[in-house]
Amino acid sequence: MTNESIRIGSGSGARSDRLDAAVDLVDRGDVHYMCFDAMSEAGAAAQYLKKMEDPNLGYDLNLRERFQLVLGPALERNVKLLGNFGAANPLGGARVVADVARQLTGRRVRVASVEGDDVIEYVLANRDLTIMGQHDQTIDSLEGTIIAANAYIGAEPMAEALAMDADVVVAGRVSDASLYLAPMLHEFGWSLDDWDRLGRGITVGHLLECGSVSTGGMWAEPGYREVPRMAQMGMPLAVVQSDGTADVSKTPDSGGVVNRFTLSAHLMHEINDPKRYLNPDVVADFTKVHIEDAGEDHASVFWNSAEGPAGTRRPDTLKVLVGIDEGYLVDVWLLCSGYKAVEKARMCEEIIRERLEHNDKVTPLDDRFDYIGLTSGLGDSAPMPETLPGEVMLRYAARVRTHAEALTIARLSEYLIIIGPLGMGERRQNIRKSIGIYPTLVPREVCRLNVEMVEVN
Amino acid sequence: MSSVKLRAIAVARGGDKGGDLHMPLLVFDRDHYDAVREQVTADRVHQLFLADVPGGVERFEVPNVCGLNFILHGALEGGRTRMLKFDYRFSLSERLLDLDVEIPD
Repeated sequence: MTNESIRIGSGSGARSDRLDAAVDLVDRGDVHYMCFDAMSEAGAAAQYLKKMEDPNLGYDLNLRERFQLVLGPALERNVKLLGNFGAANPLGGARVVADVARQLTGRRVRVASVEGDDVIEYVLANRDLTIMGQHDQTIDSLEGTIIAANAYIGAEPMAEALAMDADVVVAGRVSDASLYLAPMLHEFGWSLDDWDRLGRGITVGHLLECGSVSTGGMWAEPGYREVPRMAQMGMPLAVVQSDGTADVSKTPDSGGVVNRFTLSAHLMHEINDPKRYLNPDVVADFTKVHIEDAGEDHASVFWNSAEGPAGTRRPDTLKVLVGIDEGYLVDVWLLCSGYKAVEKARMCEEIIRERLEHNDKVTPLDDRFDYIGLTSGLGDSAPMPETLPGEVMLRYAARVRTHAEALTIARLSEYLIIIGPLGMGERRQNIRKSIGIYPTLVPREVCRLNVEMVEVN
Repeated sequence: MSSVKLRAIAVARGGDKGGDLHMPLLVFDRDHYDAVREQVTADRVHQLFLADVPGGVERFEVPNVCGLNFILHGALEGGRTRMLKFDYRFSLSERLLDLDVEIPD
């Protein structure tokens, strides 16, 4: 199948993104495809843990609610939905989507799942794999238990699912930009070794994958840049031509802003070397793209072939994130207010230090103190403010091996208000798992990718 | 030449890859790009964030969009799912934008 152009929109840019934004884009954007990124590195860790608790879980927890809202309108307008919302369990996620479809509509719905990014068996058998960026360190040298290992996979199996007439494709650890490349492969019939085209497709996909971050999110700056109607922020939408060039805009009649600056800023989002953006489908060269304004809230994305290809041959390896259970993170928060509030917080810090020093049941692996309101969001390298605030939140955080140790530390916040200085107030505590996520590389052949189709009604 | 805050001529936004904090800087006006490229070096950014960047700062140029991509190695202590520090990947860049630069009049 070859088409002239397709309209692709972003349904979500993060696991916790708004649910209504996708519905607005289906209603008003006239899109053919909508792609959902629902899986950050941190989100992946949470889903691995869910799957360990219950093997039926491990997919994005918003999945059912998301599809209850968007599936009906999408089917009505024949919008295909693709996402990595399968997370640690694509088949389980596809079952949820099928279940929603069964309740929603009488029409036939085809839900595909893409399995095979789980490579934990391989990693467990090859613990001498080195961690990317730390050439001397192997997976084996890490403290803790390996709980997951998933490879970033490319667009090919999703394009295959579209060729099998899927209405919805539920994938796991696919690369964000590859979600968007899949419809282009399917519609334009690009060859899997046309590195220039694939590089262009991945560039466009990268511009869309984080949702509203390219349409006015993280953009407003008092006195410098205004962004209209941020509460109704639109989602990015691209009309992609068969040569990869695109017009990028946003949900019609929405808040936000699209121009060459919002897109150029996003071009550099979470990449390393812009000349070599390593993706499972292609090594994309982001320094070749031109981004220009093309009317209000429209920008044109194009290439000049004389400047060389937008991509080169894909890597022979796939990047794998290895999740390691390292114990627990425990946080203790204490609000210190009024006369010499910062000094009182320092007194509490001393009490915590002394209590832990004399408690042989607790041995933090590492820990730190923060003074929220002084420098906590600006780094340890930030200078202290010249005037001290009248209230400050003291926070103690530690990594410990056992839950019992975490509980002992959490209790500190309860009695500190009694034994500490005058003027303490609100206190909080929080315990969560400490999961290390370490990148490594495995040969491409290790992933045996498989597309399953479920048809309902 | 006149001295301005980077905030007046550029924007920087954070992001993460594992334990590294990413801080791309976009210069709005091509006439200012060379000045920023010369003055906002990897070394200057490293000095600014010294205690937060155990692995040093790497810089990539993205000339087609007047961009400089800074990678702050190790600033996120092995990643958001294990770091003891607050998630400051989107806020640390506030201090980059407070830097003074000399731009042509």
